[in-house]
Parts: sequence; structure tokens; C-alpha cells
Amino acid sequence: MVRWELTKFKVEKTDKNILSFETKIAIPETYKTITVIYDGKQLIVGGSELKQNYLIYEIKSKLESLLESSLIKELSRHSRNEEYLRGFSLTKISVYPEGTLANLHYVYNNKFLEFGSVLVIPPYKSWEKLCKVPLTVETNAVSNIKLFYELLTEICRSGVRINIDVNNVNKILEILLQKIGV
Amino acid sequence: MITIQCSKKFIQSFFIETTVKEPIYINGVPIYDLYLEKYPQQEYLHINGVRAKALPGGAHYQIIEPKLFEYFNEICQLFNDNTDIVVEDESYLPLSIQVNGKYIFEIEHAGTTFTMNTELGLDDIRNIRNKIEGVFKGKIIPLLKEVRLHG
Repeated sequence: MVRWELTKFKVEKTDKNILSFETKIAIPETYKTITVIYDGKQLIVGGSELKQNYLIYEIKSKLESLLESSLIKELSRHSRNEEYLRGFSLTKISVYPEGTLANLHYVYNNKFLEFGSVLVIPPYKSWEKLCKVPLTVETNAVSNIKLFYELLTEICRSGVRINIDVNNVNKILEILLQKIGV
Repeated sequence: MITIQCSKKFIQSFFIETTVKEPIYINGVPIYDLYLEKYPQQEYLHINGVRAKALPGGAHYQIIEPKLFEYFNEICQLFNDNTDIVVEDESYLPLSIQVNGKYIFEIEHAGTTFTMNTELGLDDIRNIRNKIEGVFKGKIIPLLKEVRLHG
């Protein structure tokens, strides 16, 4: 199996209900980076359109699921505006021989919540331990320290959901890697 | 802000700012904005730099000193080493913790963004938060109110 590295993973949905997705997978052996883009209609894998509808449907449903995260719902509680954007992405991706660490970045309108580093590839199995390990947390969603502490509690309450999100990322990548032939 | 310095599970020093409705007279001058302090190696309460016992009504302050320091010791019991804690004075929630001069927990607030860096897990942070908030809201502040050293 060829070694690969994730360098980008970002999914968004705008107020026009348009789902967009971009991921980049680097193959160090060949110095190539494969970009996958979904613009709401077409799924372009490495420059070619993927026409298998069932695969697109499967990827789309997992992307939609990422945008239904309870942490995005939590962010929506702190936004006074009508929804115009929701998003999920991986940031500060670092690849190690044991796996890939990244921050999970959730967005609702102009509010964001980011925390990490957490093991995203392969998916971390002990999510009940999420709140027993050091995490960096950053957000612009709250206006005072009390609400910030409430958000920390919400991260711990959402351990199962975060597990589902990370599994979805892995399943999407699995489908794409099969398609790419990696 | 409130600062607390612990050493081997016991209170070394603290600093609390407070505003009172009825003034404390220091050198005959009515003062509403107070800072309460305990200095390292001294088992006395100081108000705006003056030993509390020496102020008018000082006997009341002296009576609460052991209880007050005992409450701070409850917070310090959480930490084995030399520990500096900064607590927000409205919510009584911890903002930073340094152990032996090294930050193990810090919340920064810049513009609209809060950032937390820590070597602790969120479960540990919750336990520390609950203890500090509980001791302040349930013990220290009511005690200070009793002798009119708080709001």
C-alpha cells in the first residue's frame, strides 16, 4: 500500500444550501498531491469527474453528517444571525508514523470552535478519554469566561459525537483512496 | 483579578480587590476600593497595605483571619508544588495556573477570541474550577461580607 498523507479536509454549507468540500492527499513517494473537490454537483477527483452516483451519495451523506455535529449546534446558540454558513475542517494537520493528529475546527456563521490536537487517522478509539488528555481550545463564540467554561463542558459532553465525526472523516477518505487507487 | 500563591498545599499569599458600600477608614480617610492581602510567611490580613487588626473595627477582621486562610488552604490542597493561580474576580473562575513557574493552564482573551492552553485534561480543569468557584462563592465571599469587606 502506498503511503499517503492528508494535508487538507474542509467541508462547508452556505445559506443557499450549497455543500462544498475539498480535501488534499499527498503521496510522498511520487511527490504528487491529489485534490478532491465537491462543489454541490460534481465530485472531481484528481482532475477527473467521478460519475458513480452511489459513491457521491455516500460521501455527501457523510459530509452532511459532519455539518450536523452537536458542536455546530452549540455554536449556533451563540450567533444572533440567520444561518449563512456552517463548516467543519481539520487544521494544523501533523503526520506521524503512528497516525495523523489535527485540530477539529467547527464553524457556524462567523463563530468558530477549534480544539486539538487529537488523533484523527486512524480514528482514536477511546473517546471517553478525550477530556483526560491535554487539549488546546480556541473560540470566538463566547463573550465571557463563564460561557467559555460552559463550552469546555460541552466538548466533554460531545465525546461520542466527536467520535462519529472523526469516523466519518476516515470513511470519506477510505472511499476516495480506493477510488484513487492508493 | 485575584491572585493566590500556594506552597506545598498551603496558602502563601493572596491578593483580592474589592469594592465596599460602606467605607473603611484608613488614617481617617474613607476608602471604598480595597485590596485585601496576605503576605508570604505572615499569618495576618492586610487591607490596603495596613494590617487589618490596626484598623477601626480591626477586631472583627482579626477574628475571621484563621477561617479565611483555612478557606484558601482548601484551594491550595489541590496543588503539591509552588503554585500561582489567577482567578477572575467576577465569576471566580481560574484564568491561569503556574506550577513551579511553568504554566500548566492558561486562558487568554484577545479581542473576541478565547484561547486555552493546558497540560491538564478538561476533566481536571473542571474539578479545579469547581473547587475554586465553590470555595469563593460558598465560603470566602460570604465570610468577607460578614465583616463588610465585600460588596
